[in-house]
Amino acid sequence: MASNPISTEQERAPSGALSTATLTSPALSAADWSDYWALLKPRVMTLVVFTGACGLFAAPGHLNPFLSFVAILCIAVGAGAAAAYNQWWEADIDAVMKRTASRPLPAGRLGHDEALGFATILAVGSVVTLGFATNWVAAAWLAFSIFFYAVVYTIWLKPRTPQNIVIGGAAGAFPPIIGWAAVTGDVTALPLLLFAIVFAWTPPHFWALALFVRMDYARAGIPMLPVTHGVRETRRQILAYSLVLFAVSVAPWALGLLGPVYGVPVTLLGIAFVALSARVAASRTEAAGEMTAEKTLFKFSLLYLAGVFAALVADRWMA
Amino acid sequence: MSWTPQEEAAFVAKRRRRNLVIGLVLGAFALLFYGITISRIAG
Repeated sequence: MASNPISTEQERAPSGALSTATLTSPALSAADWSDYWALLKPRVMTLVVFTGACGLFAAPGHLNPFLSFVAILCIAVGAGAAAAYNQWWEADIDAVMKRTASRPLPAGRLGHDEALGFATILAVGSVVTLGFATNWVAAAWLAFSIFFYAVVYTIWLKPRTPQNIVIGGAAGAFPPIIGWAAVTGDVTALPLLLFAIVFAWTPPHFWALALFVRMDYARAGIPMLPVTHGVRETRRQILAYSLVLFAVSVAPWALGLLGPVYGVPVTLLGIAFVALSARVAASRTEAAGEMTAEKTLFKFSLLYLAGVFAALVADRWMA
Repeated sequence: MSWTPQEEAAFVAKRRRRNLVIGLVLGAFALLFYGITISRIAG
């Protein structure tokens, strides 16, 4: 049986206080529970829970309320696991960015092995629990989404290409599919369109943010579009993607999959999104502090996604 | 070099909170699987 690492004579200073050597012991973590919580990126998780829950509520069929709760919890924990893998891999990059330098790993409050182990336990636990609670199709989608975010996006694409956000956006677009599959056990046209909406929404959302924090990305060596192709090209791409987003957002209504309860508010939201993107495209300012159009678009994009998914659920319930 | 009494107290408090949260999470996990089992049997 292993002895308690802080009770041995070697690890205690003569005064009885803990020696600094024990701090490096893997058995002695200096992390608080809130550091583990921060590893899950709870704010990002909110969006994932929302879109996943909307996919679940919009799906045809019935799922026991408790199992619905478990499914949403698993989607949230799976997203948290992906975020923990992301922070584990990017700790050195986070350390040089002002926005992320105080995260648990770069700040030294949490060890790399602790973060990796924590992420793996959450990933395996959420996938297996979702499989037992609902079905293995949903569990497979959850496993794939974690893999996609942790490996395809974080490790492979993000440090290599300015299109990282475009492909990486797919990772955040899986929750509606998982929620839908949890109820039905399969994936049809509507959940794929929901995937497309989040996928097309991600680039203008993140590039609006990247425009006014681009110096941080440049310092960290992340090839974000504003760093590699400049502010003007990023603004042009934002407008282009907002038009794609408008098209895919109204597609469920145009194809007859959803009714006017969805279609009318989403069309109005889409027009506002394109108008704000056009304002960003027309802006010529280079100073981050003066980028009010970009900041407004970033905030509105959050409202947009919430509005689209709320309209989806409202339409399905009224149908 | 050793920890000051304040540092040691802070460490012990952190560890206590962490252990408490782990205990609560494990308990919730057991309840979750109990609920899943009952729901699946009932369904």
